[in-house]
Amino acid sequence: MENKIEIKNVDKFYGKKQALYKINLTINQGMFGLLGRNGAGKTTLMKTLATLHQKKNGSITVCGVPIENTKEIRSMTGYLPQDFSMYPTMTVEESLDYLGILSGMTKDARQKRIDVLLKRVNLTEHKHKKVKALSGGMKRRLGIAQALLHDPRVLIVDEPTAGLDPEERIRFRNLLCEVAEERIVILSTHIVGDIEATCEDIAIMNNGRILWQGTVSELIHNTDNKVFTVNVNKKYLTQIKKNYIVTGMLVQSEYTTVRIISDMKPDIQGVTTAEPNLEDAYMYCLYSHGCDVSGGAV
Amino acid sequence: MLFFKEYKKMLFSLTFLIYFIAVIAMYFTQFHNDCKEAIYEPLPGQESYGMIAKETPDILMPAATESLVNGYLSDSYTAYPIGFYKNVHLSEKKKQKMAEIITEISGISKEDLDNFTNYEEGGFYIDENGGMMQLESNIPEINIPKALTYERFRELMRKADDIIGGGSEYSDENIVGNFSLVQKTYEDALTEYNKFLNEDKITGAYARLFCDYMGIVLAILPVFVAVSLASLDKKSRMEQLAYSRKISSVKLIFTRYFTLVVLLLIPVAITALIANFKVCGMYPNNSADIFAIFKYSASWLIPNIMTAAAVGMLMTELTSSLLAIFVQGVWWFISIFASANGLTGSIGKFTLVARHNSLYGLDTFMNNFNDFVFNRIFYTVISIIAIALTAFIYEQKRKGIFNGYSFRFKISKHKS
Ligand SMILES: Nc1ncnc2c1ncn2[C@@H]1O[C@H](COP(=O)(O)OP(=O)(O)OP(=O)(O)O)[C@@H](O)[C@H]1O
Ligand SMILES: [Mg+2]
Repeated sequence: MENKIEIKNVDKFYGKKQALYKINLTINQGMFGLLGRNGAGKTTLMKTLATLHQKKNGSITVCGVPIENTKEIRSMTGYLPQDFSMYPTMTVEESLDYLGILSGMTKDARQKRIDVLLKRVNLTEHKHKKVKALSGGMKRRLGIAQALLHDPRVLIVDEPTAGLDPEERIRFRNLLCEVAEERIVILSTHIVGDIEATCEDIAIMNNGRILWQGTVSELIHNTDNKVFTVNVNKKYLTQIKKNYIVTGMLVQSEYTTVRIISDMKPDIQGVTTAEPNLEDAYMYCLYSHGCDVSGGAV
Repeated sequence: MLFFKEYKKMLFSLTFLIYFIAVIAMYFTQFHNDCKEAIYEPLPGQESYGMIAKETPDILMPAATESLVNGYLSDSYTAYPIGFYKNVHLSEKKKQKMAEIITEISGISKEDLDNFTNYEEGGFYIDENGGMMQLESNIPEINIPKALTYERFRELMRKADDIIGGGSEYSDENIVGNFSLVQKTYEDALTEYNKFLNEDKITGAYARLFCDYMGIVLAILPVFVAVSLASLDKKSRMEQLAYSRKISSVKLIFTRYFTLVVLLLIPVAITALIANFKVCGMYPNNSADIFAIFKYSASWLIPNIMTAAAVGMLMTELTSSLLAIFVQGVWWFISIFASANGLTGSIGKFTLVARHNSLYGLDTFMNNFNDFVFNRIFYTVISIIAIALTAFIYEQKRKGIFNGYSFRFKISKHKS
């Protein structure tokens, strides 16, 4: 069986409102990042992959299995929803055990797997804590543990790093990368840093459409010679913001260092070309597809 | 496995605790409280032995006739066509037919009936000494024709029952119990007492009373526990976690239901056990059937629990609201009301709450036994169908095909 997800011409409606438009994506083994701003349709697409939503048209196959075959898809998919919790009065360990049963795991398998996973997500010492007593970050770690519980071939995690402290965020990314060695991992986020550190392949979504799909370096490459920095006096800031995409601003005592994106070299004194990063590339991608990005940072 | 997990999950919930206490309280305030004195063997020469329904034409004919005339004049007949109370009014055509029957059995001419305008139902008034006095029901004088045979009379009663639409007081099943109550003789009382000892083995009679009381609460309280269980995933925001796992909806929902029913039976089993000790203790010198209360409880009460729990799960899955409690509440109320005028052996084919508020009346119960069995099997089957439907709806929601009907009083706001 091939290890990939193929999405062809998928439309999705919420009642009359269309949330996905003709989505075409091929997702291979490893980490796949889904980047897009609020309301782009990331969650909608991921839920569709996790069999929680019905698509209207098109076809989806996961490792050769059509998505309509829900039982098989569910047994090989681990899903971490964007917004979730568990029974408040159950302990961490009990919750995992319960969900393991729902995945049809044997008692032995559950015990072994839960121990390993609790260690991996750094929750071993909290395993007797009740879910209601967990912090937001701990809950998210419990969430990733439950998604990995039945050793799924496909892991779908919807904004998993939201609410984690920097240390945990790094641990988390590393964990995902490890996991992705033998799996397909789909990660959604609107935090570019998460993607930069972990993903090779990415797709950018906006308004229910895929704007761009490729590797991180390709995306950054698109922005070569389009990123500039310039030191300007504060009083020109408003004007610059109006004319260019500003992705960074460092206020110093006499002047401000501004990072701008522009198709052509801006006609400002002292402008220098800069090395593009993923954030620049993301902004440029949105901009070049006609999105309003004048707000500044992502 | 899942059973034990679900079991633990529900056992420590607040709703279950409240349910548990309510059932135990019902037991002690009603049944336990009723069991103060043992039934003794009747002695000859007692002033009264109570009433008994015994087919006696001399009593039955005038009583039924008077009731039918009353019904005709007020154009209101009580009936339980499918086990539920119904107040029947007749069309003009049917009134004509009924008038013919009345003329034949009461000797009141059609003209007298038609001209009889100042009809008043029997009521009460306060006399000058402050006592309550019953008003004589103000109806034309009844003279049952000498030539009218009892067989013909019963035939006419069957016709009257047909006209009313079945299930009336005049039907073959009900007429004796309604209109032919006589004083028990010593022999009657003794026969009954012997049946109590030998056929019911004491506990059988108490089991019916036990089930009568417990059946009332068990037709309503389980719905609260069921609703709380069925809305727990949503309330805990873990629906999506459960949805995305492998287990089949049928297995999950049926296991939850089964666990729920077992759980709901705990206080029933406990009270049945206490009742058994209590009753056996009242009759230390007789041999009682120590299984009767459990046998009766299993067949009589489990369908009540199953039905209320199924309504709770189905409606909650369907609407994500507290609608189930309202629906079950209304049904329960109607069912209680439906059986309010006959608390013994009032077990229609379709009444949810089977009543038998007496230690006597084994015969009445046995006469209705087939209906009782039908009734209990009917509710068991209906419950299982409702749960199959719940599993189907769960699967639809799980796949995002159906999102539940919304009602104003939601349990929790829908998220993401
Ligand atoms: N249950 C729903 N009913 C109707 N519309 C919905 C529903 N869920 C999402 N939408 C709409 O579909 C669009 C995509 O939403 P989605 O949740 O997929 O975005 P997202 O990319 O996950 O956003 P975020 O970054 O905020 O999580 C939005 O316009 C949203 O309003
Ligand atoms: Mg989202």
